[in-house]
Parts: sequence; C-alpha cells; structure tokens
Amino acid sequence: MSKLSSANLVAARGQRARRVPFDLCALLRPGARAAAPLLLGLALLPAGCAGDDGVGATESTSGGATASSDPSGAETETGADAWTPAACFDAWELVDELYPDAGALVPCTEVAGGDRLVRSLLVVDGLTIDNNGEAMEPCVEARCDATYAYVASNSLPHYDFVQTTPNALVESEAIVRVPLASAAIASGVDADPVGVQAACGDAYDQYMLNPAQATTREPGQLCAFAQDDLLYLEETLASGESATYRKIACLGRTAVMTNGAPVYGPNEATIPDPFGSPLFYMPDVAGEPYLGDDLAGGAALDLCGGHTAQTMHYHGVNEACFAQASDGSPALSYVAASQAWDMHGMLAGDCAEASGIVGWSLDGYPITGPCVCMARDGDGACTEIKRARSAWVYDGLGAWGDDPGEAASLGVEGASCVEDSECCDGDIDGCDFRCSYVVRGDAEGSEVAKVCALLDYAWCTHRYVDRSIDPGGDDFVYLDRCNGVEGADGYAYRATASFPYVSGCFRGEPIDAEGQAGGGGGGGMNPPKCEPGQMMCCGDDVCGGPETADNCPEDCA
Amino acid sequence: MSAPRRARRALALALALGGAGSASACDGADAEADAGSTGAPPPQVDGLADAGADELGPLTIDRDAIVAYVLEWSWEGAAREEDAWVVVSDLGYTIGVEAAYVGTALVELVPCEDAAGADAGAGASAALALPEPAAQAAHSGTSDPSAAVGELVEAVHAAPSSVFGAGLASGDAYCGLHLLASPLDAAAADGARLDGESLRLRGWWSAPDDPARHALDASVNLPRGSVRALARLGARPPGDALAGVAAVFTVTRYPALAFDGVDLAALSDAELAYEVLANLVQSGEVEVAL
Repeated sequence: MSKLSSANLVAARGQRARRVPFDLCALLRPGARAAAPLLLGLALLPAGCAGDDGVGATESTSGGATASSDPSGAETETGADAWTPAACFDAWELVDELYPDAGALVPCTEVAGGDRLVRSLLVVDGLTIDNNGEAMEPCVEARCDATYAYVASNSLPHYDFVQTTPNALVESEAIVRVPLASAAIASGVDADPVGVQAACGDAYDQYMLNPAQATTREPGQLCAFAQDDLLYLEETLASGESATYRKIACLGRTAVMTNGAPVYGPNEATIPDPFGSPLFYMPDVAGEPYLGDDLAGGAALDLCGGHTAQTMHYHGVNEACFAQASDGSPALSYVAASQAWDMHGMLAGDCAEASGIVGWSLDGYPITGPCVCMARDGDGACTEIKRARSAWVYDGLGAWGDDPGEAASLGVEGASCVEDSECCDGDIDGCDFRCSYVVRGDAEGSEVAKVCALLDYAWCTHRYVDRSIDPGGDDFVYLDRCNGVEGADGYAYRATASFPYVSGCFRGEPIDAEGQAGGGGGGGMNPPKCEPGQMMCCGDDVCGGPETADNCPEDCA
Repeated sequence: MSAPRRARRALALALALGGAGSASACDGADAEADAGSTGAPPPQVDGLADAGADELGPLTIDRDAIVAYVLEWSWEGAAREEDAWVVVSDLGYTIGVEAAYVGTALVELVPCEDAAGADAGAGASAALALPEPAAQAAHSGTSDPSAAVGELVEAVHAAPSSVFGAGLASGDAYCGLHLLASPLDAAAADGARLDGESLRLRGWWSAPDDPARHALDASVNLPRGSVRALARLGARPPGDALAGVAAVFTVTRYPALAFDGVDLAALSDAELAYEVLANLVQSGEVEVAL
C-alpha cells in the first residue's frame, strides 16, 4: 500500500489559483483570431483550441505531454524550453519505506520511458486552490528508478474544490509506483471466465425483490471486490486471441491522473444506487442543474470528472481539464475547461486532434482522452484520428432475468428519451432511472443514444461486445474490454464518456494495484451510512447484507 | 425506495409553503399524514455545547424531527447609493451591485465525523479540536435525511429571507451545513430568471486608482458548494410557519464580502462570477434556533 498516513495541511499563501480568461481560444492562440462561437470552441476542446500552436497535452511519438500538436509531430521550441519538472514533494525518503526494492531515484527525464511520463504530469508548482475558503497547494511530481516511475502527490485537484457534496477535500500524500514498461500478464494465472458476469442475475433478483436493497457484494464480478475473488479474467476473442486481464478493484485506485489524484472504477459503493455509475447523474452539458428533483441523488462529480470521499478521485475524465500549456501548467481554468463537459460531444463529436495523456494506469499504460491518432506519416504527423468508442453497450439489468413483474419495474429501461421525467413516470424523486447518454448496440454495430438508464449496478447493466474483428466506423474505433486500443503511439486506455469511462480492467500486470475489498488499499470509499431500516453488518460496507462467515467472521465463528 | 424520499419532499414543500406541522416522527408512507399533525411532544435536542465564540459544538436532534432552512442575506458592510449596493473590496475595487441573483439547489446538515463513524482518512481531522463535518459514502448526491432540495432563485440585492425547505434529523450529531449553489432554470420572486446560471450579476465597478466605471454584467453556469460550521444559537424566525420544526437553521450570506480577492480587471465575466459565487456561499454563517 502506497498511501501515506500523514497529511500536513499546507499553509495558506493567500493567492488565488491560476486563472485563464474565459475566451481560452484567444488566450491559447498566438495571434488570436476572432473568438469562435464560445460553446462550439469549448465543445471541441482541447482539440478545437489546442491544435494550432502546440499548446495542450497531446500524445505524440515522443510521448511528452508538452509535445507539439504540430502536424510535423516535432516538439515546439517553446514547449521543450519552457517545461521544468515539478519539485514540490518533500517526503521522497519515504520511498525506501514504502518500496524497499526501489532503486536509486533520479529525474525521470534520464530514464528510458520516464521522460514521457514525467512530461505528461501537470506542473502545478505555485498554484493555490480554494478548498471551502482555505488555500491549498496541489503537488504532483515524479521520480524514477530504472524500472518504475514513482508519482508522488498530495491528491489535490489543480483547480478550486467544487463541493458538490458534504464530503471534504482532504490533502493526502501518496506515492504510486507505475512500471515504465508494461508487463504482460503471466499465462496460467487462475482466472474467471468473462461469463462470471452472469452472477448479475443476483442483482436482477435483488432489484425485483427490493430495489432499495443492495446485493451484499458487487454482483458483476468483473471487478475485484472480496478478498477471495480471483484477480484475473480470461476470454477467447473472436479474433482467435486468448486474452487475460487483471480485474480492477471495485472500490479503489486504478490509475493516477496527471494532476496526481487517483482514478477509481466506474461504480460507486452501495448507496444510494447499489454499485451504480456516478456518471448517469451528471448533467449533459455545463449549465444544467446539479441536483434534480431527487433528494437522494444528484450529480456529485465536478465537471472534470472527480469528487471526494475524503481524498479526491476521478470516475470520468473531461480531458479539457487536463490540457497543458507549454510549460506544463494547466492550460485552462476550471471555469473554462468545464464548458467542454458535453456528454454527446465527448461520445460522438468530431476529433480534430489527437488527445493527450491525462493519466497513467497502474499497469504502466497511459490514459489518453478519446481522440486517438491511429497512424502517422514518415514525418510523425498524425494522418488519421478517430474517436474512441467503448465496446461496452448499455444492455440494462433486465437482460439478466425474466421475472413476470419485470415490465413494471424495468420496463422503461433502455427506452429512448429526452428528459429524465420520461423515465420516471413524471416523478424523478426516488426514481431509479436517468435519461443518460450511452453506447447501445449489438454485434452488428453500435450507436450513441440517450436512453433511460438504471442508476444501479453499473457492471451488470453494461455488456462487453467483442469487437476484436470489427475496427469500428469511419470516424470511430472500438476499444477492447479494458477500454484501450493500440494507436500510432502504442497502446493506451482511452477515457470515454460511456462505461467504463477510464478503464475496465488491466491489460498489463499492475504493480501497485489496490486490494480487492471494498475501500481497499487505503484509497477506498468511506463506509456507507445505512438508511433507516438497514444495518451494516460488521462494518463490511454493506447495508442490510446478511452476515456470513466471509464478511462477519467475528459474529459467525 | 421512493416513499421516504417522497415524504421528505412533501415535508419540504409544506414548509416552503408555510404549512409546517409539528410532528417529530415521520417514517415512510406515514410521513405525509404525520407532517400535518399537531400536538406532538417537542423534539429532543441535546448534545449542544458551546465550542467557542464562532462555532457551536455537535448538535444532536431527535431522529425524524423536522429541521428547516432559512436563507438570508445581509448587506452589512455595504452602502446603499442610488440604485446600487456599493462595496469596496479588499483589493480596493469599488463595486456597485444593482442586481444579483443566486440559484440554490440543496441545503443539508453534515454529520460530525465521529457521529457518522466515518474513516478519519489521512488524519487531518484528528488534529482539530472539534469534530469535523463527516464525509458521506453516498456521494452520488446526498444520503442524509436532513437534506432539502429545491430550485430557489434569490434576488440578492433585495435581501430576501426565504424558507428553503426542510428535512428530517438523522439522530446523529451534526457539525456543519452544506449549501450548494447550482445552475437553475427558474425565476426569482421578482420575475427575473436564471437561465442555466447559478449567479448573475449586474452593476458596475471601478479600479482602485481609477474612478472610471466599468459595466458589470457577469454570470456563470457552474455549481459551487460549501460546508459551513454551525456558528451560533439564535432566535427563531417570527411567525407560525416553522412552529413545529425542531430546529431552524438560518444561513446568512454577506455580499459585501463577495468581491474580496477578486481581481475584476483581470478576469473574464464568467471567472469573475464564479469567484463571487464562491465567496457568497463561503460567507454563509449558520445560526441555529431551537
């Protein structure tokens, strides 16, 4: 476990966070042209605004986040010269304690593979953010030995905290080890077949019995939840390839963003929507109300995709928030970047430019935004850009059973819609559905659509469709089960606005993956607060669940 | 799943309309009927300790007792000149606020960390003398029954006092109050509408060393929230509307502080509005009337 236990609040310095004027295109483009219609420009960010002058964190053959987006692919002089690695972390001596096998740490720019990683990190030195009236200083920095990068941070966002819930933002120092070269998963590991998802029948049965009651564990079993869960998945693809993946933790860190905050998987815990996706609550675009007419649920992520459970973590990614200026600092203020929150645009908009790196998975693969450079010419210029499309389709919980009463409970599931009220018989309060953008389809193809999506059981309402022999359409490329694809610059996970949002599994062997148990690894969620009539047995994070020898050994012994 | 939520909403609506009852126990489908009853025993409130000049200690209210929220504005520190409230910020800007509208979507109480049994996380709270408002696991929205949601647009310049809504106490000790400003499509009492905005400002400003006035016409479409400490005990609002409520939490915000730290000349309109919105929600002082 890499998370450190001490967190000293940084003294307030009384200065505000870096601000970028709202007309960011004008700011970012030397010789600014007349401001394009603002919303159009922002909807395409960073592709729409970052493309002309090398500003923005664009993936390239050099791998650096400050690399040029110039068609030549060459790094701009300003980018190369302006960047200075961060130097904000003051507890590097703890690496020896946390990782006794660590080698001598050196600047990552001196290590093969390390340069790409360290240049992708946001340079937040000197920034001050507001946290409920308190000034705080985010920090993210990396050092490397010959094998690993060690990403140290205090887990603070690089923008003012948006307190959408009572959950506080707490500074939490952490050092995460990321392999510089991804390691393939060893053959012969004990693995679940992907058909293990059939256990979603339990979720179906539970929902039909009592929608307010969560199953005792995450039922999809495609993420690691219990200590005795198998950690791997295996499948034989239509292409004939045998694939083995490592499960991500159901409730824990899967990756680290370029601002140093952790990434979690595509589901929450048990309340209010059992193991549901937090993305379905989110507004389609900035400017929509943050809480609908529902006391027990509402959007809780900020418009960069993160929120807090003590520490900041991300379930989704608005890549505009992680765009970089030529010196590696955040290119856009939160106010500017948040305007790029456009679910339909993020799922189906045109890609004018390849996305940059926004994070690093614990298995060593980068995470980029959804616009993928598929090919480069001899000069390194990207010649083909496609939008990444998740191969997970929304299928609904109704796919897992055939209860005679299903129509009354789940009949609206998957129906096309425009407004939430259409999914809720006019009363959204307490309704288990939201009218949300998803990818839907079958083996023949897919489409982006707005449907009545069940808020519960994200891993069960989505089904992976093997696209290994289907490269996608003219303008999009399908991703693999883990939500990644090989592009011109190698394999990377691609942050999408549909499930699983960042990654659905590890393609490589993660070195620092957190434990399987809910809240595992120190990066997990806080215990749920049970609703009236429910009890949490033995502090196992499950409200109302039966006590078993597994989850309550002290009571069942 | 929906019955308790509907009950809470009904309570909130009833209170917002001035029809609050005095029931202290509302559970499930019986809540609506209970809400209209009278003569219930007064709810028990205890655990309250004076933790210092600016903060009350943990506040425990009987489970299912009704708590209500009143939102107010104080222009203390501002001068009324012609048709504007005029304030001078800590950076020396002079700002005249002719009109300001704020959208609020949520008010809820925040359990003390100890009461909720939440993980102390990195231990930051352990260093504090008082319990911290606790994090909640259900961070897709809110899980505390004290939550009241609504769509309230306030005309700040008119300094209205508004009953935002009501919820039910959980029985846990509370240490804070979460206030969430949100973009809304709704109208204020004077008819002015927010159109997907959380704050709209109109007026003028002048720089510290330059009396020239610049137009102030700014808005932002983003939410901003804050958890405020329970600051002090106070008197209950006059009238009968909240007679059956166990505790009334009045949140007073101070627009005269809203421009502190805001470099008006350097910010875009949206950035400016976002900063002002942050200051407004963070200026909130919570007074508790039992």
